Amino acid sequence: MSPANPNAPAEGAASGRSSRDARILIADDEPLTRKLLAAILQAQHFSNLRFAENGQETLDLMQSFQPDLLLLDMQMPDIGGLDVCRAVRLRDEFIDIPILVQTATVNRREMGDLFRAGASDYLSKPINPAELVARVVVHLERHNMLRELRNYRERISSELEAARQMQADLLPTLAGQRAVAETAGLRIASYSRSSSEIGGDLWGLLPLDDGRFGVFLADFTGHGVTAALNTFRLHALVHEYRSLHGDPAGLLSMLNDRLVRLLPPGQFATFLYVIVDSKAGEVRFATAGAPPPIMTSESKDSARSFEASGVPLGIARGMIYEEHIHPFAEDMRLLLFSDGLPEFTNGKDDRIGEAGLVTKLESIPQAIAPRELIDSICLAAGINDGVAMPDDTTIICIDRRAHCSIPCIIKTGLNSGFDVACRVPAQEEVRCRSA
Amino acid sequence: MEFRLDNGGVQISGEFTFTDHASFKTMIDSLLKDGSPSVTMDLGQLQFIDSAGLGMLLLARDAFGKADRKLVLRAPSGQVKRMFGLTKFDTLFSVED
Amino acid sequence: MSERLADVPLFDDPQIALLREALDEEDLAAMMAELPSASGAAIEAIGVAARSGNLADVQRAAHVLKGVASSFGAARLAGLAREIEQELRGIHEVPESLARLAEVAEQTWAHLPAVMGRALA
Repeated sequence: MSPANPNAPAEGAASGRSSRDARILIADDEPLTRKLLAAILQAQHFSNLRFAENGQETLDLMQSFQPDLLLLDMQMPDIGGLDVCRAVRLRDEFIDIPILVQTATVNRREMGDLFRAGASDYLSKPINPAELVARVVVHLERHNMLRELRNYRERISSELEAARQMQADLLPTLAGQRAVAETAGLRIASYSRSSSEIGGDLWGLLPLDDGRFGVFLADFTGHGVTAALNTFRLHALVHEYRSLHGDPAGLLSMLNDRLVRLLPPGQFATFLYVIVDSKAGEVRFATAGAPPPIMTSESKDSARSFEASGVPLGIARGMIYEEHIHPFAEDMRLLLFSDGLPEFTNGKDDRIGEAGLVTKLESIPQAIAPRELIDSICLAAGINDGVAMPDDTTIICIDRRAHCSIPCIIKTGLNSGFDVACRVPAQEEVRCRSA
Repeated sequence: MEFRLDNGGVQISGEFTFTDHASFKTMIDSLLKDGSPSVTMDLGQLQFIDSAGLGMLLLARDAFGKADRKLVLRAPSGQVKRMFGLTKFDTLFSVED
Repeated sequence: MSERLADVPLFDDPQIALLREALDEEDLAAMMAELPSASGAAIEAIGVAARSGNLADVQRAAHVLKGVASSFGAARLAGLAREIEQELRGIHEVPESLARLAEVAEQTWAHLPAVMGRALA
């Protein structure tokens, strides 16, 4: 580094480049003082300067020049410095612009007035060139940092919005759900909501042959960006192992071995995979630590959970999963959900828990459509539109009672499955096919 | 979550969720500093655990494993016991009744 | 003019030194050369305000003079301007102050080349 040179630009300006490009408005009614201030700043390579001779001109130039910093004389003939300060601060775009007030006053009371009026700092008269430059640089850098921070926040929030949309696009569309449901001769409704913009839950439908289809529901530990990135990985993996879509236990073992390599220690995913076979009247499934799905039966007027267990994906290599088979008769419906549902809490009331869900399902009238069933259990769990979600939550209802004896209305939103059930009012009504 | 250290072990009570990350890690670090070959974590008073809590138990298991020490979980009950069952955590840890 | 003001030097050397450090010699000389007309305008404004009997305007003009004079290191002129701004007991004292201002201003201009070490344009 070269020795200090008093004529060199002030050192220590990390964002010096942008500081030197800054627009500075010099407001002073005395022409020679304006000239002196400009000469001092120009000697430090600040060249983007404009001048105002009175208060009104200052306010006009604030608007047309949009300065990054205002150097303001306290005493101008038409509008006093305090009033200029207040008027500038009233405008949203100048809420945090540095205003350096030049004053000969060192009266403590007046100092208070000055800062209350919105001044960022003051410069004493007579003008001290080094002090002037130092304060200008400090305030411009602070302002730059604030602006960068604000830009950064805006950028992150728009990127998160894009990521949210991408994640929503991973989920089955309403049309996709309807196509699978029609082929299989049953009804499907779903609900997904994240605790923040993006989340760690993922579900999907995998059409198989002969009206059969697979449905999976995954939940990564944690929520937010890391968990969300993992849902994208998992989505790709699930579709990579197409040959295993008919083999629940095999698919889980394969996904587990892949995720063990991808996930850091302490992170895992619970995973449930169910193959729905309407023709055979059964479901075949395997679970990796997911909350057990609940099956209701109209003829038996009962609801009960599938008791099955398995080590979550991504913890230990070489895990073997079991396949379970369960009848899925025409009077049955199946509820799949992530732990966000039974574990939901608003911090005051008790969690509904798995047992509470089973009890609730037993008391819900059999006639209601899958979507209304979801609405009803959300309500029972304490989840409503406005409430903050502590965890990502997914609920899927698969109802075989398409040929139900009671005519019913299926209400659907036009959006993708994302956030539909509780947040989008019904926009379309489709008669139950058999009605 | 609250915890109480007692001779060579720790008793955890309350609810073990993602908000307990920092305090749980500090507790594990202090357990690792003391020299006994086996540490028992008594879960008898623990009422609730979420998946983040399970993840932290896995991290603790790894930390003890690296230090060539044994972590024993004792007496999970209620929802905690159910979570251990569903996730087969009882096969990943040594769990005593 | 108060007794102690007579002891104040015409120019404040440390302030001149600060300006010299910050500015190109030519630029500084050019601005110094404008000091007589700039402060002359302020003195003129004091006179106009005094003749219309407006003490507040007198003080405002004196404030402007104080600012420009002090920033260019014209210490005695600035001190006198400060007295007019802050210590006048009434408009009747202005004519006497104006006479002193004229006198100090003359001395200040005459001293400028010596301060700058050169003749000014």
